[in-house]
Amino acid sequence: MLFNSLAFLLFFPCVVLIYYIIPQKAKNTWLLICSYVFYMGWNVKYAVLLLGCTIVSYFGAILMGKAKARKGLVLVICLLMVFGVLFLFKYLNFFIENIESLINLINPETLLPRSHWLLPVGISFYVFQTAGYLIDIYRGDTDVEKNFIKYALFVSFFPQLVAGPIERSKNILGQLKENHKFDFDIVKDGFFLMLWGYFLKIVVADRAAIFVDSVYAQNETTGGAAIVIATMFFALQIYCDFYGYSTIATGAAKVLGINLMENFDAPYLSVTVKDFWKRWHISLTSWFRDYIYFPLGGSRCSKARNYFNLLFVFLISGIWHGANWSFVIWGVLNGLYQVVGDMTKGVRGKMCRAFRVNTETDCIKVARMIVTFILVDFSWLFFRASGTNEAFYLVNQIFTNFKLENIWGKNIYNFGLNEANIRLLLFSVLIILIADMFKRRRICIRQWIYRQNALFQIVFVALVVVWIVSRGIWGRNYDIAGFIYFQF
Amino acid sequence: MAYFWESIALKKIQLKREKTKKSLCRVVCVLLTVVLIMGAFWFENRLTERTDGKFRLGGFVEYEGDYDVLFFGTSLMANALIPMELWDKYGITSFNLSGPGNNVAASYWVFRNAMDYHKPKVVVFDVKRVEQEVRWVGTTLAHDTFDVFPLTFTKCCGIVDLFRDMPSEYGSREAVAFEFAFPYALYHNRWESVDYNMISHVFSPDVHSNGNGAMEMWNMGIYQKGERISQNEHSDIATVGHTYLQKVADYCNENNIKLIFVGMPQNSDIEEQLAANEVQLIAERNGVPFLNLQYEEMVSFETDFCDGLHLNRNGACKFTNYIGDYLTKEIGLGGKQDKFWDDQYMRYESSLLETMVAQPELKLSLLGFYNAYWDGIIMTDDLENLTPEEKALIRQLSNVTVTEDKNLEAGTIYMEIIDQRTGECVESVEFAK
Repeated sequence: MLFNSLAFLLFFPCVVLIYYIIPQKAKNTWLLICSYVFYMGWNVKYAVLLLGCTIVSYFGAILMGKAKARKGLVLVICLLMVFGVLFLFKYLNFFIENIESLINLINPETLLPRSHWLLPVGISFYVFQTAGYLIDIYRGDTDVEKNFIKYALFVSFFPQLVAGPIERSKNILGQLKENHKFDFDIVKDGFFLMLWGYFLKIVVADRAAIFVDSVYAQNETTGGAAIVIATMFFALQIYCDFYGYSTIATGAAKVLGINLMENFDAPYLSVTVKDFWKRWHISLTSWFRDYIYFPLGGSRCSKARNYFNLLFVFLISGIWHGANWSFVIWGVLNGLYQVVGDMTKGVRGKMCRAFRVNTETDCIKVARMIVTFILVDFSWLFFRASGTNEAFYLVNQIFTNFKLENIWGKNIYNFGLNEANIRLLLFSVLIILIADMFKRRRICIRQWIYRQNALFQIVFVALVVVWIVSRGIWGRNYDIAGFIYFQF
Repeated sequence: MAYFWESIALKKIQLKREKTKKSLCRVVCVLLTVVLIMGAFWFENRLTERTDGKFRLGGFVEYEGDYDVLFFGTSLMANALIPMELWDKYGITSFNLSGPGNNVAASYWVFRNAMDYHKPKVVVFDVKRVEQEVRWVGTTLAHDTFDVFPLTFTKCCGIVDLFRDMPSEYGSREAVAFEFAFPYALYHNRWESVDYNMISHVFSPDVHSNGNGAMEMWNMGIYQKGERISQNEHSDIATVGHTYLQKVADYCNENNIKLIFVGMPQNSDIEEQLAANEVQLIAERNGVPFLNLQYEEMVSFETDFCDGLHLNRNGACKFTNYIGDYLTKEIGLGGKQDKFWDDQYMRYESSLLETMVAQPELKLSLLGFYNAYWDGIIMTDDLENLTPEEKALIRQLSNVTVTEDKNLEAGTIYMEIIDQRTGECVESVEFAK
């Protein structure tokens, strides 16, 4: 079930109510049952895969704890099994297509069989989560969890099961051992987080999606200007969609007394692409950093090797996001940005000194933010396109067929959003910008709200709830939109 | 020492009291928040709700008296039966709960919901669409009829039944059901077009039409009567529509309500005619009269239709008179006197006059004269200014006369409406050349 579905809005309060009524000993079991019920809402068969990965990693970790001499072999086997499942469901057809293309160079009209297995929701997330646990056990960074219920709950915890954050065992398993009594302030904080997440998802992301989908669906006639605007809206859409989901997940977990990691930290206010990737999908980038980048040598090696490590990690990141060459290009592009950025750092510094440009001033920081956004947004074009052909076609359209008149004046309202909706979207961007600016300064707006008197908080919550419901994109006039990252 | 332990005990009690007070405050705050949210949703719901259905049908739920007759069916019945004319000419109280887009199953559930509020002496049921095999209906039009009923067990049963076999390409069944239970789910995006009228509607009482559900059509065309198969030919196929007709018959039988099936006068295809003729067998089986008006010469295809299917106001008056005659002669209804209904008729008549005068063409304005207490005097410089439709209509209306006055400017068509009761001219209108 989706977070923005009626089913979840009925499911979650029931889960919470019973959670705080039952004894502490039964809480984890209850959450585990609820997590599997939540996951089986998509497809009952998916739960078999989830359980399979859980069992493999659980016993794998125990085996590594006991047979220390062979823990390397055990690790490799377990990783092959869990990543093998991911490969079979997500990458097999992509692999076959590319093999087929190669064979067709020699023997045209060759057709290889394809698998018809549906991609289980969230498989990339829980596979990485279990793999991270196994690697931590191998390294001795964490203790083996012998309680199967706790471990299974760590893997399947429903708020973060299908789209992250990709949690570390140390963070979650430790909290599952604690006593979780009802704390009004914590539950209230979780509720506020969920409200913010719902605003981002159903008011902003799904509204931006209407414009983006409209332009991309008719990209042959819309012209480059519309594609540029749509890609900027896509940057907004994917941020609010994913950040919104993560915030709802964090909020829901907090209501249950579990603290999940922060997954976004005002990424579009980054001054460099490197900085952007420290603030975007933090759980995934930190996973790649800790389990791939650092083992390869990280930055503690030659420049050439460092650049290779960076490009390799982002290549893998691109592949993780999707079984399509456009995702690979997206990933490599982001890696290239950082490589080129690092290569030219010295030259840029010299130029700034030569022209006496103070890079610490706000206007230079804003300029750098804009440049970073443009670079990142250009790469989003490859992410959003259905394939490399479409992506390159869109790039071509931008540079050869701009058609500014298609978005000028009232023509901007021809892409699914009328004037009222465009204004609402822009107003929402302003709210998000202000919120992110406060976040960068480590000022928590929620804490400021909690310090106000009760009447203010009551009115604030009531207005926000009604505003989200009334301005949200839901109902059959708009089809309920899934979360973008579910496809990964 | 004792003092020490006593002070600790007192402190514990104090802390416990403070904790209880804090908990109580929080509970009150949460309850207040919930109340405020519900209040704000009530406001939003009132702001964005569509008032068309409530305007047309809202008077039914709020009326505290009894109805002699209730009418159910499709847009054909909604256009054809004028309750105010039925009252004025026959002294029969009625309400027209028909709705555009309703199939038999939908009409059945409108009927069942209506029975929660009023049980009439007679139910007249339009059998249009009886040949259909589906229960579900187009939601936009169905909301017009269903939104007026509050959320009750009957309404929930109706929603579940109507949409249980709706194909998924038309939307999620759960979402559709939710929208009928809570129309706000469908209309919440109307915030985009909020205007002064919508805001003022929030705290104003609902306004209901004076027509008691009638949807009079002010359009006219000349049509040909279509081919009719023999009334004895029928389909021998039991449809979902037939099933729901039987349900209507069963309910009326259990509750001592006289039921009448009506096949509306219209042009329909062979399949529709066969299925409608099949209704004769159901009617005979249940002892229900079936007025299959496709075989009656009670309306004119030259003057009484707006599209070959739906009756215009002229045709609706004829249909209403036919039904009124049947109800008085065959059922023994009629002859009531009631000031409330007389006042409502006067308001209806006033609206009717306004509508007639607002029409852009003479032929449309003439549609208001049938059954009316007005005489129409038309003056024109040349009789050839009148269209064939207008001439055909005037031939039927004994209370409308045309005079040719060569002194008038070329192309002039001028009409005076004289109240028969007072002899005064109540309106005059000149139609554009």
